[in-house]
Amino acid sequence: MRKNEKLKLKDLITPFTNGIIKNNATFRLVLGTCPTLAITTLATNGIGMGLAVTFVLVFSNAIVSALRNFIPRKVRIPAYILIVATFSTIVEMVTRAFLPELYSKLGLFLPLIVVNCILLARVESFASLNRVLPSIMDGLGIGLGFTLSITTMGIIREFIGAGTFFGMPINALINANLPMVIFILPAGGFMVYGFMLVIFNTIVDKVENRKHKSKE
Amino acid sequence: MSNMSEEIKSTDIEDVQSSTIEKPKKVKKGLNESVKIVLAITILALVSALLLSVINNYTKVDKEKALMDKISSVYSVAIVETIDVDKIIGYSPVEKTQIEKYVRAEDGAHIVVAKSKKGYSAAGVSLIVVIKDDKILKIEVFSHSETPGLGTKAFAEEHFNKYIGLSINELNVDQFDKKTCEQFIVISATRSSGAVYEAILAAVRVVKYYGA
Repeated sequence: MRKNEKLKLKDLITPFTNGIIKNNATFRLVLGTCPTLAITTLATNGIGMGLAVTFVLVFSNAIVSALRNFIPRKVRIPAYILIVATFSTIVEMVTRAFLPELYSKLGLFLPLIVVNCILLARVESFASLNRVLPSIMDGLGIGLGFTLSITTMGIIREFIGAGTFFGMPINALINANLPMVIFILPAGGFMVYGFMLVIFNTIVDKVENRKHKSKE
Repeated sequence: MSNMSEEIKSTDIEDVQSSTIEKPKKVKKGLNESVKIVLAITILALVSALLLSVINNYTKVDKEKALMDKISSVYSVAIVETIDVDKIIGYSPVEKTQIEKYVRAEDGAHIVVAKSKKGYSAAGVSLIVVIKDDKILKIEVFSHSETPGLGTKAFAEEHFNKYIGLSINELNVDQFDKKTCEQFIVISATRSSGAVYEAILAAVRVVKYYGA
């Protein structure tokens, strides 16, 4: 996009919707796998982690995009890491102060947002090449896509593994002794992730193919 | 022939001239780039530090206050004394356990915040143990990062109830007693319930040494 070219609504909506579906960080780009598998034992953890990543992603994208002509190319990666680290530290401080329970549950994965592949990938491949508003929309889309994905995984693992839904016990499940503990263990995490990857990609690919065919 | 040598000479002189002229330019360009790089990173780091220090001012957590608030919510009797565990004669903490706080209430109850690092999560299990008249009166979880639905079974009320009313003299605090430990282990939450046992034992141990 040229410097003085006027932004169209499509330029803002496309990165947002792409971030949720076409470029979904968890199921399409397979990025941020570590926190995805580690913290999805509870649905609330998924929401907390997802929103934290979204916050860091939106602000990092905005700043990197605004400073893309100021940051020298040779030191762009350290500069991006510095920006991402600033926002992830802010998230860590705020969570520790106002949401101590979530802070203790997310544990090490909160400060580790700094090295989350999703952030560096988006900052390098999108924000450093695009204008501020589309970059913000990309951050929002990718972040919300990540939040939805890991929350869904959390709901499935929590429901099947612990017999609870957002922390509320489902008595019928528990009384029937149905919860399968394996689903809240790492092995269950891989299983749910694998199944969801297959389902998500099959659906998205089918929709994309149909779109291509109708265009032709 | 003479013409050729003249040509060579003239081109040589031109090369030498151009290299002597371009060198300072290149050096200057390189210096400019280095300055630009240093400047960019310095400005970014300074702005980042400033932003973080401002936010830190508003989000600073007073751990001591949070701990005391939690203690008073668990045991509402007024706290009259804070005991420094390092000054208790003969007492030394057991490996992988830590006494985070030891206070005494107005009615003589001992309130100990004990932590065991033997749980499933590296963060450990921290418990508030209230001991009164040489008996365990109350146990509450202060903090943990155990697996929900699995490790958290160790924090169920019915499990804690096994300890309530237990005399501190019944527990051997200086030697690991496998038989006693086994009766407090929760199936499928072995490590977490082991951490609970260790934390309670650490609390009882410090109270025993203080009493002695």
